[in-house]
Amino acid sequence: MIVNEYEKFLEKKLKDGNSFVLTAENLLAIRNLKKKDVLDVGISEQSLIGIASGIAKMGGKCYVHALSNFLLSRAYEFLKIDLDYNKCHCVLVGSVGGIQSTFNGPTHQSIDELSILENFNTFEILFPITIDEMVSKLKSFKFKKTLYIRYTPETNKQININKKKITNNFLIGKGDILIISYGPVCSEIFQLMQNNKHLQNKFKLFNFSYIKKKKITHEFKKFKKFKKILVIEDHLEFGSIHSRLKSIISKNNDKISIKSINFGENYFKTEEKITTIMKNMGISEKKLLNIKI
Amino acid sequence: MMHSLSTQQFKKLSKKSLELRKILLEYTKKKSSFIGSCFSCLEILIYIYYHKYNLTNNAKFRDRFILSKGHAAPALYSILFNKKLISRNNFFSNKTYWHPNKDINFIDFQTGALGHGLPVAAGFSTYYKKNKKNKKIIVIIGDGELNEGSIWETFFISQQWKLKNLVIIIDKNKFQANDRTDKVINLKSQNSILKKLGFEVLECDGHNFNQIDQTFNKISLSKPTVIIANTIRNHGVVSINNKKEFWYLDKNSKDISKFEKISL
Repeated sequence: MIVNEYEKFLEKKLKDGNSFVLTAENLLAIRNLKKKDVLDVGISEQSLIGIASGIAKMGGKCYVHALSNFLLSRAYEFLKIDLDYNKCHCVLVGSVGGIQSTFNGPTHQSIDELSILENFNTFEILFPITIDEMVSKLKSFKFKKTLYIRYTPETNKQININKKKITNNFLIGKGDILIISYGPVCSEIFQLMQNNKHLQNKFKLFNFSYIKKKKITHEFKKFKKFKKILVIEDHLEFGSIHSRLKSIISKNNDKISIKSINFGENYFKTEEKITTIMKNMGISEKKLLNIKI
Repeated sequence: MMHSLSTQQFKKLSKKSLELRKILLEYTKKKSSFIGSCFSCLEILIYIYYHKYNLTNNAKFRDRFILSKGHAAPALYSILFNKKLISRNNFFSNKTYWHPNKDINFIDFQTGALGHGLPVAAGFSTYYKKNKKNKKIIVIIGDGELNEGSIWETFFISQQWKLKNLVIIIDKNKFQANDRTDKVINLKSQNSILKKLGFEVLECDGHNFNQIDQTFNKISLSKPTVIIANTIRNHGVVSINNKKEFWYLDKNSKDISKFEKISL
């Protein structure tokens, strides 16, 4: 039985005869699809990308699934040559990226996606906060580029975010300090703010989920009216949104203070739940209210 | 062994062997090349391009070919040039570098880094299978390329997915880069391994058009096929056959004169 919106979307797509669902034995996002509808390569991520590029070259539309670390790091050369250089555009869905991989330990953690994906000319990136946001983007996706999605599981759908607000990116709050975040971290912050009027008065939350190379500079125009920015993300500092914004601010000599809370820098140590990690890193109502930027 | 090619067909293909080697030598004198590898797979390429398949029409669902051992690209270019699908200017231009350039007509995919062409061919094959097209997807890999993990991954996947229209040709010239393949990674029983994996495994002398033809006529319709083409690095230049030094030939090399003595 199909239970989530993404599976419903794929089930519909599969009926057109030109869509292919592939996986490297990873079913997190597609567990309820019929087995016959899923092309499984086993844990052969390099071939997964090569095969997807062959299908895409012929005109097929591929939705490709794997654990994000193996999808991007292990298959890097295949992404570079077969998808990017050969312009074979697919949808890549990476599971347990960033903070979501807490219990797997260092070998499975994927906190370098942005820095890897930055190297490709024909890739766009989506770090959605809900499945609704992911499906909404996919519905309008035309396969003129490759789209990498850091999959956010169904549990995050529980948060009640108005679909219109997701599109507008400014999710909640009316304060003069801008919080920029994405993915599950962003949804956790949203939930904190939703329950606390003081946080809403102090901060405004921006969901930076859709990242195109040039878009960061473009989006920055929206941020300029804020004199204080706090970026909260789960990615290595290298390639992170914070590092890029910092560089734009410095280049433009803008008088904006920017601060970062980044889980990517030290969470290889962690074996805790996401909420615990966030508390330890200073993402609690009390700590956010007292934060100095 | 029974001949299946007519005398006329055989003569036509044999004539191409000599003609294309001369073109390849001309290319090498201007641009250098991995000529040893080009000469080892040339008869297979001639057979599939001039006899067996129609690989140079614009139909979406035509037979498809991928040169996974991309460093033999000049051999492929020389065929497209000979078929007047590449102009003389382009044939000697920077566009025809040593690995297949996707921007040239009828190059079905950009390869070069080894281990990529077979997975992509499996992708083509999957697409054809879903669309119920019987055309063949042919891919040439080198025997040295068997070192690549992605090749073995795709062997497993191809038989698991029953990609019956996939024809994998191993150009077994017994050399890779700087040494004999059996001295680098000695893969003693590849035929039986591939048979056990579920492939139809065929074998032929990769320079003998009659044998090549008989082998291609045996291609399975019920499972993916591997053809092991036993070939010789630098075939056609007897003095340097099977010598590990002649993998790459520089346009300024004094050894270029050795290649003038082509005998088939």
